[in-house]
Amino acid sequence: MEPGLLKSADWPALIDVYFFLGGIAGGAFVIATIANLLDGERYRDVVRIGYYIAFLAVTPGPILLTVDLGVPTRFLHMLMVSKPSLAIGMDAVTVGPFHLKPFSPMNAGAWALLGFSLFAFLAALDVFLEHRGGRSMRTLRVVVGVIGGFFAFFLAAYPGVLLGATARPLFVGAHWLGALFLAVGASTGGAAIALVLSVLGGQRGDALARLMRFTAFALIVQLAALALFVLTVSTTGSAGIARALAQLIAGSYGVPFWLGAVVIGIVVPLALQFAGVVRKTAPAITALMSLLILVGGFAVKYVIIAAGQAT
Amino acid sequence: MARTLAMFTDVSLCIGCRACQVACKQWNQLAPEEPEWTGTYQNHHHFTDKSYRLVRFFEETDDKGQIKQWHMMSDVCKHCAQAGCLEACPTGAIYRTEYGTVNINQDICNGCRYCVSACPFGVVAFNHDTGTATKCTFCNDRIHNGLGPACAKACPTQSIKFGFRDDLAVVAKKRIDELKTLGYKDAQLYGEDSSGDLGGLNAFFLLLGKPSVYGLPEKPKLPQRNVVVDSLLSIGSALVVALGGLVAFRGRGGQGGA
Amino acid sequence: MSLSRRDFLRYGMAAASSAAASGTIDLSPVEAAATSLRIKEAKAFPGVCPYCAVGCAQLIYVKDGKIVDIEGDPDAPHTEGALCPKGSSTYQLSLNERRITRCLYRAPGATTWDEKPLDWMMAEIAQRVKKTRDATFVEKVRVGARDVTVNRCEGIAWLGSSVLDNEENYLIAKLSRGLGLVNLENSARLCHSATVPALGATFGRGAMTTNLIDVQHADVIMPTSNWAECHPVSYKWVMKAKERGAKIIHVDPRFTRTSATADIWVPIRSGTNIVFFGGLIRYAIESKKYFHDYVVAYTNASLLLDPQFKTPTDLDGLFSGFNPAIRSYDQSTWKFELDADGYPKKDPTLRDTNCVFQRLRQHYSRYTPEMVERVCGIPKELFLKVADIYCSASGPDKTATASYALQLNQSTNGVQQIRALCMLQLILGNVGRPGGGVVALRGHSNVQGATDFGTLYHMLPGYPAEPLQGPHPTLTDYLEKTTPKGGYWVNNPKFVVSLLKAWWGPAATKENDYAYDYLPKREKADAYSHQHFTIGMLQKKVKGFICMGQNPAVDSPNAKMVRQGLRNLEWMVVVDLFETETASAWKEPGIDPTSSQVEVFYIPGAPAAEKDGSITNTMRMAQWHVKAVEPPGEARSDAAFIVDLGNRVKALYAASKAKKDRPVLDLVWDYQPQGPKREPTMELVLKECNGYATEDITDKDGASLYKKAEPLKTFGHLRDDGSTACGNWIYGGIYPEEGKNLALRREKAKAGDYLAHGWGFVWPANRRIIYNRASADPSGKPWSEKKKLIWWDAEQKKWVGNDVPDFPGTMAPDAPRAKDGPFKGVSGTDAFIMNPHGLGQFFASIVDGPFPEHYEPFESPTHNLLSKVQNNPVAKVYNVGDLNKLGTPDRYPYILTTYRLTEHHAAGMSRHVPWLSELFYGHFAEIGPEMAKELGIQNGDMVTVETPRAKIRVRALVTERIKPFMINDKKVYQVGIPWHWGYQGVMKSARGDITNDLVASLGDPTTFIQESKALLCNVRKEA
Ligand SMILES: Nc1nc2c(c(=O)[nH]1)N[C@H]1C(S)=C(S)[C@@H](COP(=O)(O)OP(=O)(O)OC[C@H]3O[C@@H](n4cnc5c(=O)[nH]c(N)nc54)[C@H](O)[C@@H]3O)O[C@H]1N2
Ligand SMILES: Nc1nc2c(c(=O)[nH]1)N[C@H]1C(S)=C(S)[C@@H](COP(=O)(O)OP(=O)(O)OC[C@H]3O[C@@H](n4cnc5c(=O)[nH]c(N)nc54)[C@H](O)[C@@H]3O)O[C@H]1N2
Ligand code: SF4
Ligand code: SF4
Ligand code: SF4
Ligand code: SF4
Ligand code: SF4
Ligand SMILES: [Mo]
Repeated sequence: MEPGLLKSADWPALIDVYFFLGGIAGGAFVIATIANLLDGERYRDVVRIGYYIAFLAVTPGPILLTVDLGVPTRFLHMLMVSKPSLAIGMDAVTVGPFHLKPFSPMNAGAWALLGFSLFAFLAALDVFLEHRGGRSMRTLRVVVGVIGGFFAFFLAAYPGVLLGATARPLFVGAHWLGALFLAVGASTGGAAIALVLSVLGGQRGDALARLMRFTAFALIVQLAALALFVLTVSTTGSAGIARALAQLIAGSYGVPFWLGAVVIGIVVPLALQFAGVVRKTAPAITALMSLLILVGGFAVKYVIIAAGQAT
Repeated sequence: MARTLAMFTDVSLCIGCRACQVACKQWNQLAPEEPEWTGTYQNHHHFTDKSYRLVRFFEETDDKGQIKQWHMMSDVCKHCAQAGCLEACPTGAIYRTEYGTVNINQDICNGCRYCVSACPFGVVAFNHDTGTATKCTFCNDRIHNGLGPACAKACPTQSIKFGFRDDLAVVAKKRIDELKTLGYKDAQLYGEDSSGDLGGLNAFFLLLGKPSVYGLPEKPKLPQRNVVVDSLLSIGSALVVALGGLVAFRGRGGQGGA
Repeated sequence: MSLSRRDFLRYGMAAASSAAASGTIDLSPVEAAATSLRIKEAKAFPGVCPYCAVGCAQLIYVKDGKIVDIEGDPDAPHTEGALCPKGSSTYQLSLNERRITRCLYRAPGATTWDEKPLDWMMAEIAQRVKKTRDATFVEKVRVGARDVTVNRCEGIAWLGSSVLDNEENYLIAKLSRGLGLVNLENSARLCHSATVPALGATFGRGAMTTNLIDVQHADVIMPTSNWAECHPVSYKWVMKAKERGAKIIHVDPRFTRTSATADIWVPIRSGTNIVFFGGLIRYAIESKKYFHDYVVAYTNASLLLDPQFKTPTDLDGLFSGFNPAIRSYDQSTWKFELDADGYPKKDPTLRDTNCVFQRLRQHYSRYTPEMVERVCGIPKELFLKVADIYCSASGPDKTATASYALQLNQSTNGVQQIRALCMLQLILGNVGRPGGGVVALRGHSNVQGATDFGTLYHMLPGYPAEPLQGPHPTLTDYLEKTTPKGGYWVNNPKFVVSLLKAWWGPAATKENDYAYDYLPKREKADAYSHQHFTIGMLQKKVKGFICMGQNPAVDSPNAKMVRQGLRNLEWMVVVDLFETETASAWKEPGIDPTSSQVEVFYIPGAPAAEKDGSITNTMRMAQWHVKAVEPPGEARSDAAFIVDLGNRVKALYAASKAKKDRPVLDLVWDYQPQGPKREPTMELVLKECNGYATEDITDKDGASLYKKAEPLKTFGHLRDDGSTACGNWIYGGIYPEEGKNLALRREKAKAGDYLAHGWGFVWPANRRIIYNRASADPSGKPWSEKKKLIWWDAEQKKWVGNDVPDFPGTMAPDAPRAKDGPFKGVSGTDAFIMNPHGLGQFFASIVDGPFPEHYEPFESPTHNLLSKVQNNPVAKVYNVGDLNKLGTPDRYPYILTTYRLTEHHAAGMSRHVPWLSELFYGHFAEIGPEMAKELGIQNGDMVTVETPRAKIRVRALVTERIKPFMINDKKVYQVGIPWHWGYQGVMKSARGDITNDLVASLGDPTTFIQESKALLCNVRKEA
């Protein structure tokens, strides 16, 4: 193929891992928050595991980013520099050494990561203290959950928006990546909690089943977003974009895309869900289904990022 | 802000000599690299962290397969008035100078490479030695001391012109008119017009054919224009997911969810 | 030379931004953090690009004794501050890890270099020179009935160089002739040697007639060379003309970067240029588009020829007088009919069938458009279109200019191909006029100067011939035979005697014919050229070799054979910046180093930026460059090497009483070496070249003209009585006063003086466009307002205008022929004052004929369609047996041509420079898609290219820019191969096989330049 004008940023797989974990963290956090809001007592395990997972999944984020960037202070540059320049972009806000660039998803994402990390920590601390017999501060938990929930959504979705705001042919005409990534965050967040719960066992009532139902729902959103992504890209028209899309769905990324992202990640779990097997033979099947969702969630992000960079 | 400076590269005067490419290396003391086979005279497919100017070669044949034109285009960072790289940069390392040029502050750049993907023209390159992104600086040191860019100065045929943007725009339009009367009917300016998505390019071009002949996007887009829509769609899907969650976890019995 | 702020403003802006260019707009830093400029506190030295003959002026910025930046000098009128990629990378010629900075010695048979001290090296080299000189010296020979002192040493060859400065070449010429060397050359031989006799015979001087800046005034420009790629910065003037609406016609077998800028590309089969130009001359005559009044007034078209003279139209390919036994012409019928005064008879109506014009017409009557199509492969319609456009740019208010370089030179018809172009320009009245001329685009930075200064086997500095033992046994014979009866060359004795005085000073006296005997005498004309002596090395006749600034291992035809010759030497001295293939021929890959006994002395030299001296560019402009930094390590200037060697050899002979050693011992050789590296004072050399009084000189009234040792103001003041000394008369006036070096002048063009007479020094006498008398009509008025240059001012009684008149300044247009004096034979309308009749010469005696006639290249895909004579019947074919087999089209069906690329330079000057080496992927051959398809070759495949001499491996670059030709109704493919590669180089892309291994040992009969533009080859895809 003729090399086009653009070249790859050569982002390493670390970034995919970060995006994947960020999605799980965000998804898990939101699920935990919703469950907590509706019935903290009944869904106690979901809430606890959800907040733990959120915290555990987000913690490597800054580390992964720092490893990628090389020097720890470099990660800080996302948020602050000692001598900021004045003209750094549309609607950029600079306060002292800090800057916020609403049109730079990476910058906004860094803030979200920071914010979310704080709330994920607080939430995890709270459930931890409660578990250790401490008293739960209900209102505080709700506040942390709701505000953190916004950050959580942001964290799950921003990588998609980030990709969408590049000039890569596959992304430049796409609008659904943020939505897609958010849905993947939700499904993988749900799957992660379900996986832990099914492995730990002993959950009460129908919490796991409800969680799986939610996860299946997220998968449907995910499927829709993915379809809309492919659809919008394919209608954008330009030759370069068509080539990029062909690479994704028919070219060297075709197999991981169809097999990994679609079949393993979405179709099989949904089939399992709708066939009702989950309820009967849980928890092994639940664990399997969760695993498939996680694999598929990673695959969809990985394959989109890779194809986007390669074309 | 001072008057905007610009470079105007007139491919109709270019002799593909690559003086600009080398003069840039000399001035900026950029290291050499082994070339890649491109099947033409061009030495690299893309801009690299060590080549801020890149002369591209395109052979155009007529319907009988006879050589019609050998296009040479000295490509460079466009210093877009609305710059994808600058908007993308999370650290604020990429900034706009008072002359309207776009520059990367190497002390701030954290090497995230987002700008590499965000430039609609594939300009920014990542330097693995310094771990930072690099590109044409518009000879920032020179222009701040009253000197023009090294590439423009070296250019034997003044194919690269340097000056204030409004002056150059006049020159460029005049040149288009001349070329039209000389029979170059496809001659057109690329990036001079500021109504486009990028608000005009401060390094703009005169092309002898359609932008696609030179591998350039016909209508380059500012990638960040996607942010708003993408975010709204994300919020939309967040609401749907949240709603789904509320439904799934609400109520006593086995109801809810999908 | 420190830069002021004003300078900065001036330096950057394009003319586009007029307000900015005038410096009225404040660009002062707004941002407090404005970056600092590394050249701000640096000192700027005037430099000159050391690569090509455009001679781009540079500024070399130096801080703390180190070069920090080299860029174009924005004041330079001919370049406006631009530099091509080579000029832009000059920095890396000085600051380069591959620079050799210590002396290296390779003992006979050794497998490695040894470092040795400079002093030891110089002492050894001096001894080798003495030893070989003594062993091979011939003092006297018997010629006919007499003993002739020939004082010649054939055992040593010296390559001076067209990358060395004028002064350095002068020193080489002086020392080597003093030693008796006859094998003296520089790369100008392989480059533009045919230019000198061709332009010389047509116009009077063997140099470009015009000035690059003036090209902008042309109405049509026809590059027949690859102008844009090989002389990129000068191409700005072509583009300026084009912007104005001038038409560009590019003639080249390949579609190059020049073609890309052209309105019309004329693909021509290599080696058929005479047919193309002849066709144009015929067209100009038959369509009456020639400039009649000009032709009648300023050319020899109207002179009557001896009716015995026959052209190839009469004799099927031969001129009258051919002697097949000795493959040469008896020229006795090649002459004019003379009147009672001994001047040729004339028919101003041009109707006499014996006038030059009618014979020319008859000669080119065969060169029809159909013939052009069949021989050159240029479709007839295309040819007619081009002919119409080109020939229409003629007459009082139009001019056309044409460039050429190697495609005309490097041929067994080299001189004649160039002559044909010159004649085309002459018949269209394009010479001496603005926007006209013959743009002879020279090669290396100083190929013009190295030629002017005579590091060439056949001549002395300033163009007097290097004497031959037969015709020139004494000074009297020599002067008689080499001085014409009319035209400015009647002053030859002044030039020669002053040269002898410059060389041998007090030892050159009237009594000893100014030491004429000291000059080596050549045995014959057919000897000592570059090709002759490289074969001499192979045959071990040449034993010692000094090679400065040239790389014959890569640049020479039949290069594989030449490298064997280098290995056969007893000793070799290489002065260069890098380890060239020549220096390392003994360890060429694939060769057992112990098999060669050559003793090699490598002396590190210094490029232009590190020394003082002048370089003469293609438009005859000498520019002085100032030493900006010390050369690194033991490196020093070439001048230092030459002067040091001279002193050491003199010292070795000091005790000698032998007569044969007098030329060395008496050589005036005091250049006041200075400093730790004993660098000679280059102004002293320049002054000697300029000329000075050897005693007090007074005019006829006894008034003092010059004090002893005072520099002469002009070559007009030279004398033939020993009272003046002058190393190179054509440079007279370059150093008119003590301390005043006009080559160092850097005044930008002033309004009204577009030719910028205040920049550098242009020989002769700072004339920018020579033969400019022809810019005015015979009555002295400009032919037209639009094309005026100089004109006769009847009131002031002198020639005035925009250039220094190339004419006696006060000679009126109606002045009769001067009977005597420096302008003997010149009349008021004789625009070509250097020629014996003051006329541009269509008819001129060259060994292969008075008119250019087409012969096929020795390797050609076809028989000669114009006559039964296939090849130039008097061309040189070197006899080296199997090493010089010629190919035939059955086995070698493809035409091969060799050429350059913008980004590379010659035989290796770019391959050690990383910024240039990275611009191409590696060695390649350009092949057209049709041929590639036939051979199953894909773009990027490795192929083998083969001739009977050698095979090389290169990568195929398949491109639509290469097209097959229809030759004599048969399709023939042409392949193009750049020849820059060799086995040394800074990175992978810089190393590759040597193209010149493919080239045969053939020579033009006048100058022995090789045939490297038209060959045959075979191509195979590598398995
Ligand atoms: N970039 C660069 N510039 C240089 C040099 C360099 O090495 N590199 N070297 C310098 C030197 S030493 C010299 S002498 C000059 C040489 O300057 P040029 O003579 O212009 O250079 P070449 O590339 O040798 O040959 C020019 C062209 O002749 C074409 N050609 C071959 N046969 C014919 C023919 O029969 N007729 C016509 N019309 N064209 C033909 C070839 O395709 C080629 O494009 O350049 C000088 N400038
Ligand atoms: N097939 C083919 N062969 C050709 C030609 C062709 O067109 N086709 N062209 C021919 C022509 S035109 C030419 S001019 C020759 C050119 O061939 P060469 O003259 O051999 O070319 P260069 O490699 O430039 O050699 C110049 C050398 O001088 C060194 N040098 C530079 N500056 C200095 C200095 O100041 N001092 C010293 N001591 N050394 C210095 C450089 O390092 C370099 O090694 O090749 C000829 N050969
Ligand atoms: S061309 Fe690319 S790198 Fe240059 S300013 Fe525009 S977006 Fe940035
Ligand atoms: S690599 Fe540097 S310049 Fe580019 S976006 Fe990241 S921080 Fe900004
Ligand atoms: S403006 Fe300066 S940095 Fe940019 S390409 Fe030109 S020389 Fe290089
Ligand atoms: S220096 Fe000028 S002419 Fe040469 S490649 Fe660059 S833009 Fe074209
Ligand atoms: S190589 Fe020739 S054209 Fe290029 S900068 Fe040097 S002198 Fe000028
Ligand atoms: Mo040359």
